[in-house]
Amino acid sequence: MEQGRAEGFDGFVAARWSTLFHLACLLVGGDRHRAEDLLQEAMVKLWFAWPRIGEEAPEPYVRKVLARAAARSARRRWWGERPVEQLPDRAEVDDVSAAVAERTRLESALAQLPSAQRAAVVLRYYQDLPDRQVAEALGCPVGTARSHASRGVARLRRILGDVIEPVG
Amino acid sequence: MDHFERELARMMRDTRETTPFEPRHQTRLRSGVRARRRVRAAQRAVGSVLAVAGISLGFFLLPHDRVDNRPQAPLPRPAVTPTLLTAGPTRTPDSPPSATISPTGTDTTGSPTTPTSTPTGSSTASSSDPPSTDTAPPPSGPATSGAPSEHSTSTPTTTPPTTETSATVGTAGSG
Repeated sequence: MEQGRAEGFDGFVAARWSTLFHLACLLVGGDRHRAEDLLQEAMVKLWFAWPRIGEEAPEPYVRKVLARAAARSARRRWWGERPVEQLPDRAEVDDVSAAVAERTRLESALAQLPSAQRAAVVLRYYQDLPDRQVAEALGCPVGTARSHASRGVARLRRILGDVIEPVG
Repeated sequence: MDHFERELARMMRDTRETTPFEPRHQTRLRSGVRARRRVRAAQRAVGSVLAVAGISLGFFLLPHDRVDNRPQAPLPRPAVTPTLLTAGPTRTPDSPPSATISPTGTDTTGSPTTPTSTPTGSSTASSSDPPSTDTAPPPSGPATSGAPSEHSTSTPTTTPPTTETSATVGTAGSG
């Protein structure tokens, strides 16, 4: 039984590690080390919950653990993000490092959001979750989750307004 | 969803980089599982100890509270009352089994009947309770009861030696 549990768990982790790691990176605002710590913690919790939810829906469980842990840890300590007026290194068109620069810009913008707003925006726009599931993952009412998402998008609109030009 | 929101969603998806699950991740995950298992075991042990301590403390404090709050019981009545002693002889005719038990010496209520019943009643009582009738001497039991008839029988047993010695002295003195 323990062997089957380990095999199923290892298979899930190996298959979904990259996607979940990217989700963790967005939830923490781009800090790779902190994202890895967060994902490790979520996976340890998933190991103990695997007999209950391993056959059903392990990924929503990990998503919920990640979102709540990101919001909680962001409230608990300061991780060193420093808001800046000017975003560094605008990428040139067709630059080989354009993807990296875009990722850096996005993560810097997300890092300026409060943790709850950042989690709501990531779950809403990256995971394509409806407001009800965002609220369930964050453990708050639907109206609160919707408010977090709209305020976060409004703030990102101000930060990234010069990068994402409005359609004229 | 407007243009900015669509671009935001696209940026979030396009910036994803492939991060394989490396052996160091697996090793760290295993160590994390072991550490959490130890923490859970320690928490369970501490919880058990606290529960046992709480239950023990409760059992230690509970009887004291009960004794203090319990209403006082009525005082015990005396084992033998004067009315029972006076009522004793009147009961003996009503209860024949007590009269047969009286030769054992434990019961003093059947004192008036025992001197006459023991020689003949021992054979009849031996069928029902042989050891009690064999070991019980008839004169010793009634002697403690204080019945008038028993005193009359016990005093002659003690007085004849004194009267006999006085008679012999009297005869020696005379002769």
